[in-house]
Amino acid sequence: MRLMMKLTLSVALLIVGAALPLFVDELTISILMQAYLWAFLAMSWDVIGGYGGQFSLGHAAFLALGAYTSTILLQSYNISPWIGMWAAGLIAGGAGALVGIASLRLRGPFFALGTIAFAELVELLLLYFKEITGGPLGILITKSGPENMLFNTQTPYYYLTLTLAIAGILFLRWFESSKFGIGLIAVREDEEAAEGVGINVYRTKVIGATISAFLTGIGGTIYAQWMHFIRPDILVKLDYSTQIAAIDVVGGAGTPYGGLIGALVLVPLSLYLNALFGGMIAGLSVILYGVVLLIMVVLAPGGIYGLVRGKLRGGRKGGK
Amino acid sequence: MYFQLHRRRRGDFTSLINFFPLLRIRIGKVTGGSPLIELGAYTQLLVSYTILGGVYGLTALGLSLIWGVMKAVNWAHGDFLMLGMYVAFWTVTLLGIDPYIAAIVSFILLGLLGMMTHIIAIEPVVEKPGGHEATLLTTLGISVILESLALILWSPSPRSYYNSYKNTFLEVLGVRTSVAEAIAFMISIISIVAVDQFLRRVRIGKAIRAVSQNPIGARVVGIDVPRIRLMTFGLGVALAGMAGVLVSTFYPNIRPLAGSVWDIASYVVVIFAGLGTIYGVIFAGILIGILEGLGTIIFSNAFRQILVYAVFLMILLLRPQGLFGKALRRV
Amino acid sequence: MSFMNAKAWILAIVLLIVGLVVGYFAAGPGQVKTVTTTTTVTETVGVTTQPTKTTPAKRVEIKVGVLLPLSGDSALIGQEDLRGIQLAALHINQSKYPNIRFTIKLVIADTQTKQDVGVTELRRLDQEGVVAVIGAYNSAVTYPTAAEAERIGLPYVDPEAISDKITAQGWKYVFRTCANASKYAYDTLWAMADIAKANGVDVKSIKSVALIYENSDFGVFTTNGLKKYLNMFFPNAEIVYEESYPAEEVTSMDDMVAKLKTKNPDLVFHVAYLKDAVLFVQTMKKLGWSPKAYVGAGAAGQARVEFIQQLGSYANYGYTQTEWLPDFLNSKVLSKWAWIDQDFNRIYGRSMVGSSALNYVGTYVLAVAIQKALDSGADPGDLKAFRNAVRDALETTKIPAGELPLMPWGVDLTVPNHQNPEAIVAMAQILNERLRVVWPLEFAPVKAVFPAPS
Repeated sequence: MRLMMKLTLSVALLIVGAALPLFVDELTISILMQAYLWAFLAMSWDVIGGYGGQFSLGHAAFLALGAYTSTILLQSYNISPWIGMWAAGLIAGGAGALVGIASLRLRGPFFALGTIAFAELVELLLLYFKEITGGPLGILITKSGPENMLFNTQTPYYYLTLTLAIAGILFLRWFESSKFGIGLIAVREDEEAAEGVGINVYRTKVIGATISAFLTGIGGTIYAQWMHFIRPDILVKLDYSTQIAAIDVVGGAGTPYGGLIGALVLVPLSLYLNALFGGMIAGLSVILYGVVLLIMVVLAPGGIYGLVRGKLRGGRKGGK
Repeated sequence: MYFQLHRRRRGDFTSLINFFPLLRIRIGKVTGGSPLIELGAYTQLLVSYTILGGVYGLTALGLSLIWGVMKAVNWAHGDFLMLGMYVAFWTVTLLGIDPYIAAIVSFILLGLLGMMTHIIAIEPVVEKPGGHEATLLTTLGISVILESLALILWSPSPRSYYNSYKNTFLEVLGVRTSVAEAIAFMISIISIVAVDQFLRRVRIGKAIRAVSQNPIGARVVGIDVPRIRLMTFGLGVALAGMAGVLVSTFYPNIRPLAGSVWDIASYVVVIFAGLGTIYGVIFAGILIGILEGLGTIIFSNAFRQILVYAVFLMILLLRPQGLFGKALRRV
Repeated sequence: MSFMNAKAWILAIVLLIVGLVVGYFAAGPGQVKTVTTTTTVTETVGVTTQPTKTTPAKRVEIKVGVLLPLSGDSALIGQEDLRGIQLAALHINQSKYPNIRFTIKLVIADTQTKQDVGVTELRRLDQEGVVAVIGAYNSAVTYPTAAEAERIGLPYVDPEAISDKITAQGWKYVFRTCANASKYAYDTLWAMADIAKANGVDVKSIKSVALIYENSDFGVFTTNGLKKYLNMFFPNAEIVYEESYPAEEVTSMDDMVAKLKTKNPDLVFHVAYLKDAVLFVQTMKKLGWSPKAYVGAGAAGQARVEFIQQLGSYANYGYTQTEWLPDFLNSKVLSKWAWIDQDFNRIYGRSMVGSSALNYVGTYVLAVAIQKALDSGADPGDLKAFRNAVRDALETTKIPAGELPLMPWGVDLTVPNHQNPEAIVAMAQILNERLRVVWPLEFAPVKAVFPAPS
């Protein structure tokens, strides 16, 4: 019965999501598309940040590495991003492994600040090797055509990112019940106990960070293909790192749906607020965004997903 | 040989040669832009960057305190610095008082604001599971609110106030610096000593230390831990406000985003220094200043931060408790 | 405990609202002023268009999108740009220009100085049915938004972003009315050579120069231009020192000045924003060194009034490029435009600056093109066709020098890359803590001091 309900609900949502572009305008498509992309990035973050409990604030670096890898492959070597995105994932994943190694030694906020430094370093290196990366000038994608993942309208990007977001949810659902996923959650809850039952804490964290960075790198490719233009100082900005984490925490970290819920709330909120107030009182939209973020984090520590689920279950499952 | 390297560097494609300092210096000689400079300039830069490092230490002090006591990251730290700069601007231009008196005004005002922030953004989340990370996000919210409020209230136009300190210069043995920077450096050291003494000798200070070392034990012996946290956060923000005033005496442009120049450096200083150390902050600040100086002397301005972050990450991996911190307990 | 929290929360929210209200009504200059002038704009439009004296026919209303960084890193200049655009729209709506016979409705969007917000806002403008877009100051935002406009088929006028690559793509819908970075560099050297000659200094005697620049598009392209044209104007000059730095993050410039002191070049060219320019001059004074001429190329940091406000007498004898100064209005050719600046003065209490003037001109050029499209019989009701008509009109737009408001140059967008080749960037020197035009020599009310007295 319950399963049936869930299934019906998922199928209905899926149909709505897929059919939406037929009914709404290009701008809404574009905003939803960005929400899905951020949802995917937040879900990628969730692997290490939510399930792994390692609060990374350096994910913009993986985003940038992914974006740069596939873009350089496309512009200089004429390799389609459909292939390049896997290379992007691998490069970002490699960097993620490094961060994972660091996470062995750093805990909690230390790890967070360490990842900030890591992102800063990545930005500086992207700026420094200007012969390869274009330095501060960035790279403009001048190619075109669907074979290069470049479209003239927003609708293909919409379906691309929708697919990505759904794939992200399916992956997380599988992940949280996989042996490795359970191991990672165990490590988050209690490292000593996890070690006691024979989980290799070190390896688990490194692999978790690698998976997370791999997925973020793929997201980076999509971002670059959508924007057609990448630059280190904009891409590796702290704003992006914090936004990825904020979306997931607001939606509900450590759950398959948190990323999507958070992105569907925060991304349209910030873009619509900006459209509404940007021309009148610039900055007001950002204040409201900040207030919403603050209220959400304080009042709903489990994220919106946790709040809704708590309500549905009548508060039976109080505490941890 | 030199010319070959030179041409490759200017061409479309280059190898990793930029990373090897020796090669780079040779290239520098060929282009006439040698990064090597005469001896007098070395001393000058060493002094300049030591002073800068001292200021880094001061900007990081408040952050370090908050971090050490409640393991919370104050993401809005740079914005409190910015508010301090505006306090300096308004008090100096409206009341016509000396910027160093404005530092005291800023200390008090920002202290109150800090306590308010603590009640809104820190206390409700800090004790919950995952609370340390949640403080990152709540203070992020505070940060964007403060930045945008400043933008709306005071417009983006950069402000500055007249002060003779920044335009008066000292010269000792051919090494020059401005009075404002020298004073900022001295106040930086004085305030670090003062905070350390406060933590050792004053009752509240001792309680703060107790909470930072063992919150549960502190509660057992009857310390009101939430109140101590409130005081700590207020003090941390007050110190940031004071640092903002001092920075504004020699650094141009008081504007809504002015804090972002200094906050990343503060975070780096705090981790460099490590937990539970006040003197570590000033040493770490000066160390980073000197590292930046070395980076610019040996390499180039573009490279100096790469050097800082690379060393930083190395230290983080080799000594996660920071250079001067005590070893972390496994919680 | 939880009760205390609830109280605190209510207190905080009340304080926030009070803060916002106070900010909205009682705040000083800038942001809020922009808002109030928007309302004055519409009010005056309402008043002045009714007693129409020149046009008996009903005026068509045309929507034009404005894409600017009104918050974020570049809010300062973005808001200044908006003032120029709003004033131009006001003048057009007041029928101050008889050749333009429609009213402009501005649809304003904030990029927050971020590229993805810029692109989303551009789509919103597209959705709202604007016929063309003006923007977006930052090269880094102009570039992707212009690319997006090109894909949509929306005419895009760039009146201020100077990165060379914006007009180097062969885009059909993108037009630039101002000079590009290379031209800024060319004019810098041209001006300095002329000024040296006028002061009896042989350009061949200039042996060494240093290039200091901020490391984004702005600095890099301008410096590339300086390198390219240096020996055309100073045949014996050699670059003895070159350094770039991140403008947003720089905390100290002692290293650069210390190295300059060792090299002791004759001229220092500095491409900088405001903060770094102030810091640099301050550091030069601190370390006790100055060149024959300190030249701000690119008309950004050193050209702003705050540069002088912050440095006081230390700013004296510095050179800076400038797109526009009130000095222009004293010349015979341009004195007929003084009323524009008077209007600006009436609303904002001060003269225009380069940013507002450039955007004023950009808006004017776009309006001329829109009028041309209307004259050709294109129907504003058919948005797609009308946009194409505006594009075609822009492509045939040619305004000779003297007819363009405020500026000593003309506009020619008929060139293949849509980069106006006629724009000239003037050179100013700070004398007695005031910016004075010293080049082109025919517009200069005062003579430059070269080399600077030490």
